[in-house]
Amino acid sequence: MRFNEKELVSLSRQPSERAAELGMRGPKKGDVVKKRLVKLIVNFLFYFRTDEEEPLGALLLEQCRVEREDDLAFSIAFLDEAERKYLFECDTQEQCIDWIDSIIKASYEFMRKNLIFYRTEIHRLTGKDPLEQYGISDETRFQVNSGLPPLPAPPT
Amino acid sequence: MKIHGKILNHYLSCSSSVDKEGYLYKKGEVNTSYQKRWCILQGNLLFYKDRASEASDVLGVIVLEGCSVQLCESEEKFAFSLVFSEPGLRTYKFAAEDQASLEGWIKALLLANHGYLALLVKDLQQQYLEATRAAGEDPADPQGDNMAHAQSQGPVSGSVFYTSNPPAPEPRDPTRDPTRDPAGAPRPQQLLQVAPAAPSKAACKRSPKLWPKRNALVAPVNGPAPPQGEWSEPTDNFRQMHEEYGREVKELVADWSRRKQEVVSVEGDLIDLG
Repeated sequence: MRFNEKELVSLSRQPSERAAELGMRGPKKGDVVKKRLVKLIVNFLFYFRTDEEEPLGALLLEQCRVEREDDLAFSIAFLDEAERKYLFECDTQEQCIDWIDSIIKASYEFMRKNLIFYRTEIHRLTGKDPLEQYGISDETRFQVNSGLPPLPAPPT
Repeated sequence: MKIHGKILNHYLSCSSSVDKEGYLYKKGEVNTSYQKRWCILQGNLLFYKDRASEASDVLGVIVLEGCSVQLCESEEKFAFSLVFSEPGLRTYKFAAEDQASLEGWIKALLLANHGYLALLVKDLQQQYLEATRAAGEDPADPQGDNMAHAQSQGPVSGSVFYTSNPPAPEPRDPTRDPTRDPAGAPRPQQLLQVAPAAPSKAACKRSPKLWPKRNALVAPVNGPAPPQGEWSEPTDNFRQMHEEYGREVKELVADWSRRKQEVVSVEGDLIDLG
């Protein structure tokens, strides 16, 4: 798959939501834990060899499962047919918890779900659609019933 | 750099509905003619394929972070481009089939970036908290069923979810009575935190068409990234950012209309002379 590599590399140099040196192990049998600089930027997890300018890779944090593996480690499993699981080792429990939290919240789909919830609830509570004032109430990406059960009719 | 295309493909195939799809003409990089591509916008990713059919493979993807949408100076009608602002980065040129398609795509692409959604959610969260306060209700956690205990049946709606060994917060179904406060539930404020929009500042040279404060992500490439503190979001306010977007869209459309009129008036003269 072609992708805009230079632009993605440029993205990887931007201020991150969270960045740290973690132990990282890939999903393949025989992969071992290696020290990597891991950076969370928007919904991508970039990983670098320490002191290298260009990332080794970028993981899109969508359609994945984040699991606490033990006190200091968490994993990200990508739910494609191969279910590839990456392991990350942290220095402290707190760091581990913080990473899990940040990764979950970085997902575009996570934010979208929040938006749909707030939109629905605000409509229920106030009778108004909060997106109307911004002129984006018809945009497909903000639709309340994209893949979800339809909204109940607002109270009369 | 490895992009892990399978993960991207999987994201696309999992989506029950896409944000936008349709044919666009895309200007190639090597072969500089415009080629018709079936384009699919999902989240902050623009995928493109040869044809609309499911069987047709994804040819490529453009990550829509750090770019602006601009009208194109082009012989092609209904042309627009995705401009990545950093030096050395590409401009992707597209053409739509008609005016309506052009406007629809421009608007959709403008709204696609992560930072926009983050700010919008933050804004709605505020409105939600005010509304629950006014109604005398307890705010609920939108992701209540996402932070489920390990016994959950599997992936729930929402793209990333968390299964844990340590006990998770009590799940909260938004359709349940929100006034019920389960024992041990963390304070709603904590659960309702969403990732703050990445600090944004246009440190790069800007064309008039780029908007000033979008998207984060313009640190000087060769220098160290400035400390987080410096980059406090000037457009903390979604309303403000949205107005800027609205203005930009209007300008783009007005610009296009103006050019169209210029063409028409030239043609008019020719017809008179004939």
